[in-house]
Amino acid sequence: MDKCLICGREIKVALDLKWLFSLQPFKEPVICHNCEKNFKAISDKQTCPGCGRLQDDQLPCKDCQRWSKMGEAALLGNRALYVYNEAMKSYMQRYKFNGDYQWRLIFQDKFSQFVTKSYCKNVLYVLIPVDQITYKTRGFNQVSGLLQNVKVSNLLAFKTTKAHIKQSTKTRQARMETAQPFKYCGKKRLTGQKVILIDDIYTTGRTLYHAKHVLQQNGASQVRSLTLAR
Amino acid sequence: MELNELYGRLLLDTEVPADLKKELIKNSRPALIQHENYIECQRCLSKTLKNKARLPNGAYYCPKCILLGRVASNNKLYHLPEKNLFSSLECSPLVWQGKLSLFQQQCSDQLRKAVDRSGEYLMWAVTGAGKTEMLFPTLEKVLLQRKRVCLASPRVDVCNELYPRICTAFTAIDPVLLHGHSKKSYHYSQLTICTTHQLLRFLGAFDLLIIDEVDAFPFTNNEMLKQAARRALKPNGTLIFLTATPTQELLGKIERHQLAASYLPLRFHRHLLPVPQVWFCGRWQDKMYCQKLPVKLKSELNRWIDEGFPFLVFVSRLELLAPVLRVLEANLPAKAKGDSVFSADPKRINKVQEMRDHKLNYLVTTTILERGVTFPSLNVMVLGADEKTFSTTALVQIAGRAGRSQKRPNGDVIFVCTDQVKNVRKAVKQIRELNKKGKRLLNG
Ligand SMILES: [Zn+2]
Ligand SMILES: [Zn+2]
Ligand SMILES: [Zn+2]
Repeated sequence: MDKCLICGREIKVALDLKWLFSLQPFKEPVICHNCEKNFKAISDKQTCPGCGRLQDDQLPCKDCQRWSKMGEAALLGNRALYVYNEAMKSYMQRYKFNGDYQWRLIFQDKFSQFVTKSYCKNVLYVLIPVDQITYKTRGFNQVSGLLQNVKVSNLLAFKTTKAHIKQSTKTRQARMETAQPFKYCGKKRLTGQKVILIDDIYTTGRTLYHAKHVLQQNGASQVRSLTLAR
Repeated sequence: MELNELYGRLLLDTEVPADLKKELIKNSRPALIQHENYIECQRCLSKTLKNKARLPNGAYYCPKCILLGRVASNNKLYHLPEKNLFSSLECSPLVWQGKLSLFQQQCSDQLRKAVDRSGEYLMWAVTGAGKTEMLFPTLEKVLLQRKRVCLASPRVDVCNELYPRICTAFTAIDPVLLHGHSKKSYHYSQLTICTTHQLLRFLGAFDLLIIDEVDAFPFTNNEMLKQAARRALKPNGTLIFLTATPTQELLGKIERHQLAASYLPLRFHRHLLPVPQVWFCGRWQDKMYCQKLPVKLKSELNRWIDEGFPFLVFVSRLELLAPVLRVLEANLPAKAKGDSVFSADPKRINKVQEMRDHKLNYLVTTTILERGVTFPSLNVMVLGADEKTFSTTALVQIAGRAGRSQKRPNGDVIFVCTDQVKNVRKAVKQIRELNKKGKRLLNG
């Protein structure tokens, strides 16, 4: 029996009838039920149509209204799988900042399914890249670690390799004023192409809107996004 | 960073400033070694299969000790040999004015002799025997010999409780306290107090390493931490284990004469351990589910409140904390104030302090308060002592929370069970046996 990646206790797997009849290949869970409970899934209930946060109504939230006011003709229509709560925060700390690559397995299946489920014809999946220095020290791109069997197009790159400040270390104000960090690195122009951006967290939306602008300037007709957490 | 901060340490390059790294390049070694199918971390000495340690950029990392900062293939470890460069003490650093009891003194003398030899030694003393004070003469001796000492424990609470006591007893020494939640920074000190995980950052540093609560999680059954302890010690150093509830492994070693031990079956106040009362109360859970408290429990708790003694109520699972607290609040007189506390509780330290200050009459808790934390004049109730979470050791430790003060050397300990199980029986038997030995000692 395997041990839970989060709490280290042994995982008890109850093989239920639903599984027996589903004829699905059996996948060993990597975290226990108790730890899993701490992550709050965002079901299709009431979410903000702009950023996908859980809220009491289905109108654009204050943050998204601000994006509209700042001149965004179309919001990102972000959809997120989980609420960014304490459990998710410590998950990100361990996976991304401590660099525990194994922890990708905690959400890999669910997130990959979430992404492929939202697939529609002629859409390109584009990941938010990590900069060179971070990639070198971390050794992986945290977004692509969360995906398996999802075909992605590498269309975005960081403009320069000079030390850029990590988003997570900035204040909200500083983040909103961040200059465009990305450049287009696709081979051809995107003629009327629909694109879905994929990132780990939607925090202010700043990074994702920057990415959206670059893709639109290079011909994308519609850019939406999916994240693990909001 | 001072050069002496590397004496006896094993630090990752991310923990060493750039200028020092340049200077010490000869003193560095690869942090990770690759074998055919697995990698071997040089900090924690664990082996991990390559497919579980591979990063997309082609490097490998060690998942086992990642909480101390990630070790990857491109990292190096830095180490300088321990030089014992401590200023020599003119007079004894021990300013403690207390006095050991006759039995404590005997145990303490044995310990003092044990540090003349290298190897392992066990001090088995019942809960509330006054282990820390018994260590003082030994610490005084080795500090005067300019030896480097470490007091380690698997439990953060134990470290946090030890640190101020050691500081007041040894004012001439400036001990360093190390654990994952400590904000204090490292300094080169003759006396280190740390969690057993922090030992992974030491190599051949200590002449004497004392591990308190050696049978506690996560040290027990953890090969990585055991190796770390041996490596933190100098090759000819002395390793002393302290425990009130030795593991089978340690007991076996004593029996086979592989481990020398001294033994104190009496508490410092020379009273026997409170023997738990086992109450069978088949439907306590159903009753509680209906917001009611079984009559027997209710009258006992009321008696405790009337007599003015604080108490702990242990439950087997985190999820039970809130409902049990609600039932108690609904059924006990309003003047009795209670709260619940669990290991990751951000207000844990506050709540424990409120209990000490008599602002709270009781705490509902999981097994986290089973060790280290001491309240005088305490009574204890374990709800569902027959649940698997309560091992024999845990039950002995829990019972040991009661009767810790001279003023009230006895306390009530009640194990509420649905079934007769081995853990409960064994715990009660162990306490009775300790008391038998204690009695023999008392009667000379
Ligand atoms: Zn778990
Ligand atoms: Zn929104
Ligand atoms: Zn390691």
